[in-house]
Amino acid sequence: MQLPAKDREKLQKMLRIGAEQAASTLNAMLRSPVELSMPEISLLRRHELTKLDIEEGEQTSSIVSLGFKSNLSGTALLVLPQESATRLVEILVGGRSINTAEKVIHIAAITEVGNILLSGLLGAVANELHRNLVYTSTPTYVEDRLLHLLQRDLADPEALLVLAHAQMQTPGLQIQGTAVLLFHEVLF
Amino acid sequence: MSNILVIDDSWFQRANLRAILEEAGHQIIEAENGRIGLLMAVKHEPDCVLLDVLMPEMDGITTLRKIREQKLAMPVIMVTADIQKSTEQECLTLGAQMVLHKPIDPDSDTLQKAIGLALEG
Repeated sequence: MQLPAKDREKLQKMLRIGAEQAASTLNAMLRSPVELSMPEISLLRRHELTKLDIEEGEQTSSIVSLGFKSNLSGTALLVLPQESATRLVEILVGGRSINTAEKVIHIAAITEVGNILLSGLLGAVANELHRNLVYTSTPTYVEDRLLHLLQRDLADPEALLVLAHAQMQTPGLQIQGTAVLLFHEVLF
Repeated sequence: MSNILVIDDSWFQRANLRAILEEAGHQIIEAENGRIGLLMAVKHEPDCVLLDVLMPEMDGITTLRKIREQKLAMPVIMVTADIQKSTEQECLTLGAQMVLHKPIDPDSDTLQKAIGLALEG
């Protein structure tokens, strides 16, 4: 199933604006260049989620999610493979390693990074569309596979989803992550 | 030196703000949500409040409204990841002195300058 070309272009432009804001913010946090891929847009049902090509590595990812509603309603997610999440936290706490007993530091740091990047992404989209987005909860942190998380949270197997994602990476720091926007309904 | 109340649900963000502000010689008290922050604002009457927007229990906009309803006149600086123009306008209309967007660079003087301006009135 395909989105009409006009809607696909609108969504791509929107995510591009949002992802550029997120990448710029990440750049400021890490003081390192951030490369951004062209956003990809998918229109699919729950059982088709396996077709998604999102880099996660071998382990579970650190995933921060932020729900939103308005004319646009859905969830924004930041997906960080574990190695990237660990590296990111080490940089944010001044270069020292975080051991497993300090897991609370890892979770707090990644949750706040997710909050800043996803709020930036969604805020840029809202400003572009002259809309006001309401966040439905504070950011939530989980360690899971993205596919598993999406399949678990999407109750209706027949519901049609619009999913947009763009990859960010900092070649100098070996950190990569994916910004995902999942729209439950899209009304332009 | 000023007494500054930092209201933010993120422990990580509070720790960052504390480090920046203590280095500048300020005394810091912290609250993890707006409900506790409002109680602390009434009890301690800090010179300035740094207030996050998206928080559990009581969000920053409700907290700001209640601070002004209680006739507390200290300057409030919003420190938020929410970059929506509508959010910024609402905060300023409700009496915030200014809105700063996260992340706050620890090596820049943005935060100290904002606090200095807010305290000058």
